[in-house]
Amino acid sequence: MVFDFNFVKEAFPIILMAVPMTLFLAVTSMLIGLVIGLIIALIRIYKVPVLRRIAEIYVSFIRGTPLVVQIYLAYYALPYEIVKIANDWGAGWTEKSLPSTLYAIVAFSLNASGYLSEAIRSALESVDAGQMEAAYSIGMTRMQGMIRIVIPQALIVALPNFGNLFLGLIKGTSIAFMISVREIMAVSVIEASVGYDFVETYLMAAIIYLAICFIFERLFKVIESNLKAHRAEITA
Amino acid sequence: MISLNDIHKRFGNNEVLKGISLDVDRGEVVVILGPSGSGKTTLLRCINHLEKADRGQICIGDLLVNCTKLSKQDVLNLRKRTAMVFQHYNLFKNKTVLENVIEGPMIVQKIARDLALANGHLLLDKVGLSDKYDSYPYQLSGGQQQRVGIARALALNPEVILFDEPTSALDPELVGEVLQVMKKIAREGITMIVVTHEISFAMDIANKVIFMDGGVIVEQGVPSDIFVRPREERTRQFLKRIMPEYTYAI
Repeated sequence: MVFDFNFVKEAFPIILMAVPMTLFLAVTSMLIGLVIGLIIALIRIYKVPVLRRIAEIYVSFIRGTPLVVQIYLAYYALPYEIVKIANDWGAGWTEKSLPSTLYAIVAFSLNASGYLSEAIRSALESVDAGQMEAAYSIGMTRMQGMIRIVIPQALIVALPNFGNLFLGLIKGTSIAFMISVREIMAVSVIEASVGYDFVETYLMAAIIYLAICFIFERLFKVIESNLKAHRAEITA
Repeated sequence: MISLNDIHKRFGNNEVLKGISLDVDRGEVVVILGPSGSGKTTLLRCINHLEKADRGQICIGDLLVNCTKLSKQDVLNLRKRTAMVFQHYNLFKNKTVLENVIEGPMIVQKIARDLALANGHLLLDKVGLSDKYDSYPYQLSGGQQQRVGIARALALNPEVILFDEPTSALDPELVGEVLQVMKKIAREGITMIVVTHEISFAMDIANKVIFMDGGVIVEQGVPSDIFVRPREERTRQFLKRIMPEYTYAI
């Protein structure tokens, strides 16, 4: 096999152009996943009747089915329903009206929320119950105690897990190429198939993913050590 | 003026409080004694609704609430009139000493930051921690943490401060500094209800001593009566156990 450096020189910038899409998918899904995950975690911690069962089943489903299956479900099942509802309101849409990026984000957000909810739940439960009691004792509401006292402490516990899950999510977005979202993997496949330069292309993709993950790994480390410097013994 | 009327509380099959009634006057220091499991901590926690009493009335200043039907607002009102010092301090671990003290005034009472800060400095000076404003709780000894706990309670300017075994988790050599601060604020006329095993504190400072056992108040009175001439056999037995020298002190 001959390594085609000329191809690499040409294709590398093209693949790099897809990096923003990958980051967009990962960051957006992480943020939406955090919000949904927090809600699920609170439902389970406070044992809200009915909702709690639904949350449990939801998390089991997310964790028990492959990401590929979830993204296909989102891509093939959602458009039909969304278009039907939209047209009931007189929108006149077809199944192509919404970009497939949207379905990718739905799938990744829901997937992330399942895993994040578990990380959030265990972090919140690791905060000593006395902290909330103290917040109550000075007259705070549950909301104030959560936001000002419990969540900041839980965040320090959860951060390493968040970092792991986010790296997983970045790599997971590569599956979006299956529903033709133009992220790193999709662009790589397109470039490779022209001249069958698969090894070169996938090596480039690997290096790009590696670089992105390395940067975020560092970033999480910095945030972590900054928080810890101020609040060293919270976990103790 | 605080008054509790016929407070009942049960955990499952275990009836912890069987109708407690109690009056505390403004500026009074009331010490609650009793063997473990007698319900004294539960009683204290019912006053600021960290435990929900099943039945009874609580009156604090101008607020009268019925424990059977409490609204969320009632609960907040109870808590705004009380403050608590915990056995395990429960300082906010993500906040500095000073932030712990100003948190209630600023967030709950909406007092301006500079006012809250000035008062916070004063209170921390009072409990002898002028050099620890910016320390985090984990950097302090147990005794220092508990003094911050007392300053945090004082900062709320409550009608009453509830002390839940404030020295039980401390190393013996640190108990003194906390008791000293408690004596100081008692002399300033702060209303205090104290669950403790510190007999000497009760003798020196309490206006009233309450002896609880099995979910009822067995006996109450001024310290000199309770400690020197207890009327009830159960009180006598308990005192004998926690202060062996008592047998000779008569």
